[in-house]
Amino acid sequence: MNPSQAIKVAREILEGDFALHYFSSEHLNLMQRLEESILSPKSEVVLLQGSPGCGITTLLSRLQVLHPTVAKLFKGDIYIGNWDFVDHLCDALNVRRGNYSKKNLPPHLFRVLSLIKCKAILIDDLDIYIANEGELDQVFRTIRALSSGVPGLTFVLSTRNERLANLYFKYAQPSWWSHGIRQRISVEEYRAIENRLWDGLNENYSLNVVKANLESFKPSYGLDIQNVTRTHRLHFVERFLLQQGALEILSDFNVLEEYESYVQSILSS
Amino acid sequence: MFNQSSLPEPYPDEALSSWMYRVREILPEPEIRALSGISDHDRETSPLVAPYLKVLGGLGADLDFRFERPEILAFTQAYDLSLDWIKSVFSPASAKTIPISFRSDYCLQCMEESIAEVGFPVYLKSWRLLLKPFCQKHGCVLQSTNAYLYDSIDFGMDIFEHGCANPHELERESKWLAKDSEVKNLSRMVVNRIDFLLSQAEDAVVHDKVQNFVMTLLRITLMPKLWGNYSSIIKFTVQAGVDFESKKEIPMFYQLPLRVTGMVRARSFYLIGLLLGWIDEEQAGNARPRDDFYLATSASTLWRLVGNSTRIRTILQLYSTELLGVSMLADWECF
Repeated sequence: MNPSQAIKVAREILEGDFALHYFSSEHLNLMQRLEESILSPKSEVVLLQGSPGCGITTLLSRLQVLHPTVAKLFKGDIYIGNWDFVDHLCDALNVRRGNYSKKNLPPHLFRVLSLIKCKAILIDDLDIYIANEGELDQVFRTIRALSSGVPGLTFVLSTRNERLANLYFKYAQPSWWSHGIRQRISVEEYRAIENRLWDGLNENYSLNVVKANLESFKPSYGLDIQNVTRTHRLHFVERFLLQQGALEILSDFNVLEEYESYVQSILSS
Repeated sequence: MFNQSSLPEPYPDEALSSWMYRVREILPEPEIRALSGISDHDRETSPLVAPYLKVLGGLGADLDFRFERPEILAFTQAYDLSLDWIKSVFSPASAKTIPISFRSDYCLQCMEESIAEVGFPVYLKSWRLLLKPFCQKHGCVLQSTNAYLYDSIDFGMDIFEHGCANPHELERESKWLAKDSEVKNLSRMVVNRIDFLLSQAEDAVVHDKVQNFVMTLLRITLMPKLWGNYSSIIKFTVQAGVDFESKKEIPMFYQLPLRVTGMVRARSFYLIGLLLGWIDEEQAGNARPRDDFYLATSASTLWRLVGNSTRIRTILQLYSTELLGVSMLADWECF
């Protein structure tokens, strides 16, 4: 591999999609549990909570990628208030919007949902689309009605809005469950992610990048999940570039942002 | 902007209007995308919208089979499709079809299967075949929706929505069909046998004659004289107002096969089976529902009800062929 090819691969590694197997064991367990809910549906409504960067979006995207026929991901375009949420569902399912004069959900929406192969509706970041807080109830009334009216329909939604989360619990049924994703991981998880990421990238790109002295890196940039994954990827890329002769020595930065800028500057040079 | 490979594949036997609707829902043309966002009032009053409505609306136009319609030409231009390709995929079978103004039949099971497969209730062109009141795939009698839906461009979606909103209508129809199931089995046998005869026709002239002979029998079985005046006939809703029904006999004779529901036509094929001697009295007696006292079980009864009509006799003789003719009619001498 010549240096320009090496830089291209390094860019791909840094900018590429974050595959879930580089995540923590908590993510992996949750993923497995959600896959069970989708593939053997029990009319569950799952609420995922966590700080920005904790991996919920990646997890939901991954679910959709793995099960494109069964799962439908709603992301970045839901507006809540009056019947907007229902309208949005109708539009996404190619079902005509209903006449809400009698305050009922369109009956054909139930029928279509029970007939189509899509059995899981994944809604990412529900909280950022609130138009009118007074009408938030409408969302959970709809979700509850669809979940009980369409056998085997699963909802997985994430929110960081406390008010919305409280409403979830107000409307919750016995088959509903929630999960809070931890932002901070343990040192053991840090090592596990490192090993998975290292092996995964070597395998994906047919590389043989080895760690210095065959030892793990110290978690010098903290144990927050998003920093950990960034750090490991930067470490991998730096060592890959060294191996390919694009670098002469390894760096030693105390601040993650400086380290990232340094690697990026090499890639853009 | 669009190319054919990016468009959804036509569903087997899908009617063109149904496919056009799906394509526009999935990949709307910019004009349609803009129109969908404006209010009903603006849509009706805006001078900018009027030209598009004329092309896109298609109310009452046969967008299933009339491929030269401006709405279809506009569609082919917008999606860069050739009219020849449209014709090759969506042309109807060479059989008599129900005019767009009277279309109402569908198979709910087919519709639900298409939703599972492509996400839309697809409308099939075979549901408009006049001499086929049974689903080509499931063998069931075609159900019929409210007559006022016929002119929608998105007929399949309308039927489906109407059915979802009025489940009692579907239940009522299912009960009637279940009650008549034995009679309908015999009807299906008659339809299949006629189909076979049509496939044996050596040329187009004979084919047309056989079709017309069957059409005449269908018209005979739908004559008011044969309905009787009994309550169970109520289920055979005729798509016509009082004005139409009170008119003279001849328009009724010619138009009723087009106006009645699939269920009525299916019943007529049972009567045709009697007239052709393909169903004997014992079979008919066994099949007749217990409380349907007035359903004919013999050809002689039917001929007696028809009475002496030179016109009908002449028409039947005119369309007689070696495949199907007056000589094959049971109890023809009673007529």
